[in-house]
Amino acid sequence: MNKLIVLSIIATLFLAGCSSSVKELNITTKPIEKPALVLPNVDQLNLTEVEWFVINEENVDTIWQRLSDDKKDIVLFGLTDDGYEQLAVNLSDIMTLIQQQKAIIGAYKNYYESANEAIDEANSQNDEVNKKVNDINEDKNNKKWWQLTK
Amino acid sequence: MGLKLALIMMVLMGAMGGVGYWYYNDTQERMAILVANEAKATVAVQEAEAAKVAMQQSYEAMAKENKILNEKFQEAEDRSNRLEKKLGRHDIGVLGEAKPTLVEKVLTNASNNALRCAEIISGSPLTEEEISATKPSEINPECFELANPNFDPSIQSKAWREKNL
Repeated sequence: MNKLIVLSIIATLFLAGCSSSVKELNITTKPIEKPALVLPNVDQLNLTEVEWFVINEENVDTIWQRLSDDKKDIVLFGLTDDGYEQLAVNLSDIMTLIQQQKAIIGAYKNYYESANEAIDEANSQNDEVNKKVNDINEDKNNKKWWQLTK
Repeated sequence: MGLKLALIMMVLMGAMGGVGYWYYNDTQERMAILVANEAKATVAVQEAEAAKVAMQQSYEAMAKENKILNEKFQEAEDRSNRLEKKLGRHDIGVLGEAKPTLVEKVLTNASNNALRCAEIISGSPLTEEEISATKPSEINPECFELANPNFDPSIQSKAWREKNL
C-alpha cells in the first residue's frame, strides 16, 4: 500500500514534467534595401530658328528676288493659312504632351523620394524600439533566478 | 511502524519540496517568456504603427503630387488653348494677303518663340533676359508661365488679359 503511495507520487512528478511549456514568440522584421535608380538626363533641345515667307500675288517676284539675293535655292515649300494653323496646333499639342510626361516623371520622382524618407523614418523608429526591447531582454537574461520577479 | 511513518513522511516532504521547486522554476521560466513575448508584441504594435504612419505619409505625398500634376497639366493645356484662341482671333490668310511682310515677321517670331518653349521644356536653363522679364513686351508670349517666372499675368491690363489668357 505504502509502495503504491510512493509510486503514485513519483508517477505524478514524472507526468507533471510532460506538461507543455510556453513557447517563445519570435518576430523578425528585415527591411529590404532597394538600390537607387540612377538614370541619365534627357538631352536638352537646342533648336535652330526658322524663317517664314508669306507670299501673295503681289509680292511673289520680290520673294524670288530675295531668295536669289540671299543665295538660296529658288524654291519654297508651302502651306496654306489653314495648314499653318494646323501645324502650329499640332506642334503645340506635342509640346503639351512632353510637358505632361515631364510632370508625371517629376511626380513619380518626388513621390518615391518622399515615400523612401517615410520608410527610412519608420525603419529607424523600429530599430530604436528593437534596441530597447533587446536591452530589456538582455537585462532579464543577465539577472539571477532570485531576481526574476524584480 | 514509527520508522515507516517517518520514511513515508520524508518521502512525501521530499516530493512536495521537489514539486514546489519545479513549480517555482517553471513559473519563473514562463514569466520570463511572457515578459519577452509582451515586449515583442509591443515591438510588433509599434512597427505596425510606424508602417501605418509611413503609409499615411505616402498617401499625403501622393495627393500632393496629384495636385501639382493637375496644375501642371492645366498650365500645359492653357498654353495650347491660348494658341488656338489666338489663331481663331486672326485670319492669317486675309492678313497675309494684305500685309505679307508684317505677317512674315509675326509668324517667324511666334515660331521661334515656340521653339524656345520646346527648349525650355527639354530642360534648357532660362536666360537672364527671360528671368528678368516683367512687362508684356519682354516676355515670350507663347509660354510665359515657363519662360518668364517673374512675369505676373494677373497684374496686367484687362485688355492684355482678355487677349492673352
